[in-house]
Amino acid sequence: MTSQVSEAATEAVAPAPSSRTGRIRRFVDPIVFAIFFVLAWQGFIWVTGFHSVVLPPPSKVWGVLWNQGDFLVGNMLDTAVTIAWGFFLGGVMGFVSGVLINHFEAVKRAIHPILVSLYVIPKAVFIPLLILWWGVGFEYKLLVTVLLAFFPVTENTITGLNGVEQEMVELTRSLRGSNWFGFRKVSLPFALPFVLAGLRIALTESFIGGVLSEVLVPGSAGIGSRIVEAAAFSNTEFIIASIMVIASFGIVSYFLFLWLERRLTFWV
Amino acid sequence: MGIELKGLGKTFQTSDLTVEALRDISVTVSDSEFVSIIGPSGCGKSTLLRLVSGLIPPTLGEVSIDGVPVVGPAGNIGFVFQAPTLLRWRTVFKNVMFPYEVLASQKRAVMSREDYEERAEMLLRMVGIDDFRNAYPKQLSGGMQQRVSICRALLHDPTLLLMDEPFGALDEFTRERMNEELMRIWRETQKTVLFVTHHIPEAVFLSDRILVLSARPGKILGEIVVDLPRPRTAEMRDSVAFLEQVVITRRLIGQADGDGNSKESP
Ligand SMILES: Nc1ncnc2c1ncn2[C@@H]1O[C@H](COP(=O)(O)OP(=O)(O)OP(=O)(O)O)[C@@H](O)[C@H]1O
Ligand SMILES: [Mg+2]
Repeated sequence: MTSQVSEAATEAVAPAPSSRTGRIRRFVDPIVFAIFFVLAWQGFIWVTGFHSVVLPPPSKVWGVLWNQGDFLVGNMLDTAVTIAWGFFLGGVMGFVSGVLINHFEAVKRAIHPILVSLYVIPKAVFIPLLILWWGVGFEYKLLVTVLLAFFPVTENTITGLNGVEQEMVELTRSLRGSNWFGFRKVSLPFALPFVLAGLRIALTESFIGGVLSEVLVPGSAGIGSRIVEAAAFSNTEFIIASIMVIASFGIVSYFLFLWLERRLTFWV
Repeated sequence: MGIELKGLGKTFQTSDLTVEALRDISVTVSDSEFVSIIGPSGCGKSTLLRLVSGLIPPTLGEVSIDGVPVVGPAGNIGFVFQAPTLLRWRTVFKNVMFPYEVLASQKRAVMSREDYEERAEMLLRMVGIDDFRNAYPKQLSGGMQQRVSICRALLHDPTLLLMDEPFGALDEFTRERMNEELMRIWRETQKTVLFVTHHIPEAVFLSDRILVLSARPGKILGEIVVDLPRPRTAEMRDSVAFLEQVVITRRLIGQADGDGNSKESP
C-alpha cells in the first residue's frame, strides 16, 4: 500500500516533460515564417516594381532601422514612460476599485453599473475633452493610458473576488480569523489569476493609450507623434520601421508579463 | 462540549425566493457524544452544521454550547465542509497548517509552529497521504483532497468536530478504513462530533445516536440510539446486532424519503 502510494506521488509531482523538439519548434517556426514573408515581400517589389512610397521594400525599412534606430528607440522610450506609468497607475487604481466595489454592497450597486457603461464606451471619445482640460502634455497622455488600463483590471478583480466560494470564506471564519486575514490569505490568492489576466489586457491597452495619445498630437514627445509627422511626408518606410519598434517593445513586455504571470500563478 | 438546540428554525430569504430549510429542531448533544445526521438531499443538514458552528444565525430558536448561547464562530471548532475546499495555491502540508496560521495571526496558538508541523505530519500519515505533503490539491483525487481537509479540521485539536459528508467521495474500502481511524481519534481525544452522512452502515458504525431529518423543511423525524458496544471494531460490521441497527435506521429513513418525494417541488 505504502509503496504504491509513493510511486503515485512521484508520478503526480513530476509530469512527463513535454518534448524538447516541440518546444524549440514553437520558437523556430514563426521565425522561419517571418523570414519567408519578408523575402516574399522584397521579391514582390523586385518583380512588379511596385511604387515604393506606397509599399517600401523591406530593405528600405531596414535602412531606417539601421540609420535612425537610436532616434526611434529614443522616442519609443519617451512613449514607454507614459505606457509604464499609465499601466502602473491604471492597474493599481483598477485593482483597488475592484476590491472596494466587491467589498461594499452599496458601492457595488451604485457604481458598478456606471463602470460597466463606461467600460463599453470607446475610450477615444473622451480624448477631445481630456485635451481641453489638460492640454497635450504628459498629463493628458497619462490620463488616456490610465483610462484604457483601468477597466480590464477592475472587471477582472471583481470577477475573481466574486468567484471565492462561500466555504472558503467560512473556513477562515470558522476559525475566528479576521476578515483581513481571510482577504489576504484566501480571497486575494484566489482572485490573483483573474487580476493578473486583467493586468495583461491592461498592458496591451496601455500601449494603445500611449501611442494613440501621441498620434493625435504631432510635435509632442514620443514615437506616435513621429509617425504622424512622417505620414505628412509620405515617409512610409519610416512609419513601418516605427511600427516595428513599437511592436518589439510590445511583444517583449507582453511575454515578460506572461512569464511572470505563469510563475506567480503556478497552480492554475 | 455539550450542545443544545432549542426550537431552532432557519429560513433563507433571497430577493426572489424564500426557503424554509429547518423547522423546530430541538436536540441535546452531550459532551464527547458522536451524533450522526441523516436526511434527504436539501433538507438542511449542512445548514444545521452552519448554525451550530455560529457561521450563520438562526431565524428562530437558539444554539448554546456548554450553556452559552452561540452568537458567532467559537474558534475551537473543526469544520469539514461538504466539498474539500482546499486552497489550490498551497501544498497539501500548507493546507493542513492553515488553522495554525489563523490562530497565530491572533496569538491564539497554544503550541509552537514546530509542534503544529509535527501534528500535521502525524495527521497526514494517519490518513495515508504523507507522501503527497508537497503536492498541490489538483494533483490529488477527490477522496484524497477530502482526507486532507479532515487533517486540516483536526490540526488545532478542536473540541467540537462538525463533519459534512466527509467520506462521501471515498470508495467503500477507504471509507471503512477512515471510519475506523475516525473512531480511534474520537476515542482518544473525546471530541463531540456532529457527522452528516447518507451512508447508513457508516452512521451505525460511528454513532452513539443517529438523527433522522425529514425532507425540507427539515424536522427531526426520529432518533436512533445505536445499541452496540464500544469500542467498535471492523469485525462488528458483520454481526447480527449491527445489521439489525442498519435495518432499524433504514426503516426510519424510508419514512423520511417518502415524505421527501411527495414534497420535493415547492
Ligand atoms: N445561503 C443560502 N441561501 C439561500 N438558500 C440556502 C442557502 N443555504 C442553503 N439554502 C437552502 O436551504 C436548503 C437546505 O440546504 P442544505 O445545504 O442545508 O441541504 P443539505 O441537507 O445539506 O443537502 P445535501 O444533502 O444535498 O447536501 C436548500 O433548499 C438550499 O437551497
Ligand atoms: Mg449538504
